[in-house]
Amino acid sequence: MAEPSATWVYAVVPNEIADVPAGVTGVAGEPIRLVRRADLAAAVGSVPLEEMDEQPLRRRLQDPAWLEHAVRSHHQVVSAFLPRAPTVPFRLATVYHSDAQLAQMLDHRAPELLDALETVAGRAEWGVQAYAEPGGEAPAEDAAAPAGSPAGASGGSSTTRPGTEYLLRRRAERSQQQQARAAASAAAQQADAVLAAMAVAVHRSPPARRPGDGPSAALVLNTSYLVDDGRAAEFTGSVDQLADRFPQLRLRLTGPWPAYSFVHVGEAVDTGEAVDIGEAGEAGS
Amino acid sequence: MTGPVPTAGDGPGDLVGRGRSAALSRPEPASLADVLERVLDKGIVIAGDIKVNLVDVELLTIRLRLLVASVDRAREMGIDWWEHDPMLSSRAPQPAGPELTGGEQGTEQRSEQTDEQSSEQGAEQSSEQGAEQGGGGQAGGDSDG
Repeated sequence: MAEPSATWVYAVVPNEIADVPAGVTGVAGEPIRLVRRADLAAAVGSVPLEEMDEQPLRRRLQDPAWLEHAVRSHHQVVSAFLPRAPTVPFRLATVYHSDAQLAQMLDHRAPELLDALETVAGRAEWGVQAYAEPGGEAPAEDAAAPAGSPAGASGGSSTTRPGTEYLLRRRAERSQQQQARAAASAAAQQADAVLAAMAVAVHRSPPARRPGDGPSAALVLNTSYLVDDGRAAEFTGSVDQLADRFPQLRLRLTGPWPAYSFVHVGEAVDTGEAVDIGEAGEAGS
Repeated sequence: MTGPVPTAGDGPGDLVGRGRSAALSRPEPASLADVLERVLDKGIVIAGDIKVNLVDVELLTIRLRLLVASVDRAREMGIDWWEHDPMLSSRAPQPAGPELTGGEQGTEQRSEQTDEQSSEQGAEQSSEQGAEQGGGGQAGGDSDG
């Protein structure tokens, strides 16, 4: 007798899609298949209910190893569809008791999902981060050092108040860092404007430090852009040009992504992030 | 990078200094952070039959391995321990005597706090505040603003 299973949803694509991409497996190592309903098809996998029912799933979500694996697998499945169909990604851990339940959802939410498909069709998401380039400004001079103090003196010199000198130097450094960051931030806004002009939508995240950033990384921009495929080369080329134009920035480009940041359906959570639809650039339709 | 969390990218380090122009013409490999902030935080949000609130994910316990999400998202989840830790916030009640929490973790937390203040309150103003707060009796830490 087969184990009871649940239906894990990865993405929704148009029902015209012929089949699933080859060689793709899901969060439980399961094969991916399609649940077709009217104009929609959901990319799903059957996962053991024993592992994915509420309690076990909540436990797994708190296991960093499993979470990392699940996130990567989920994203791999979603990404596999992107080259061959407009792909509306689902957030992690959307699980139904059966295909029938899932199909009901597809019925109920069809208008929104079709809308989302239209938003993403022929487009991809590109992520750009900008960091204040360390040393992008002139080298720190002892601008706040009192006149007459030895320039560049290190600890253990003949100064009688090394602690004060240290603090003054640190303040000078911080002042330099603040200025560098402010300058980088201004440059980042300009860069963002250039890129946004080529996008049909923009999703800006607060430039708080991202996981994995080193301690000296100063993030001044963290934005996703929804770009028509036909403008992708122009967009990525612009990132190069901006890197040249703004030496005070270090730019990082990722993509093409499935349009995670541009498909707001259902219980959208207000994270205080700004999404602009229809920025500047004309939507190529 | 000296933090406790590996960058865990699919390819070469995300923060390796790069030459300009040609070196950037290709997108970089996505890091785990890039994937996490999309898969956990974005995409279609429709409640399935099996109710899991991703807010339940215990970010603090996986912080050492994954460090997920922006500060705003953490706050949304009610995770704001740094605002109540006297070592990390001048707004929290201060202990009677100085006692530094040891190690890299403390330093990293402190610098995260400084950054959060920076991003929330405006770069220059809060950087000044951060410098003031961090200056007294503590090593400069990793404050970059």
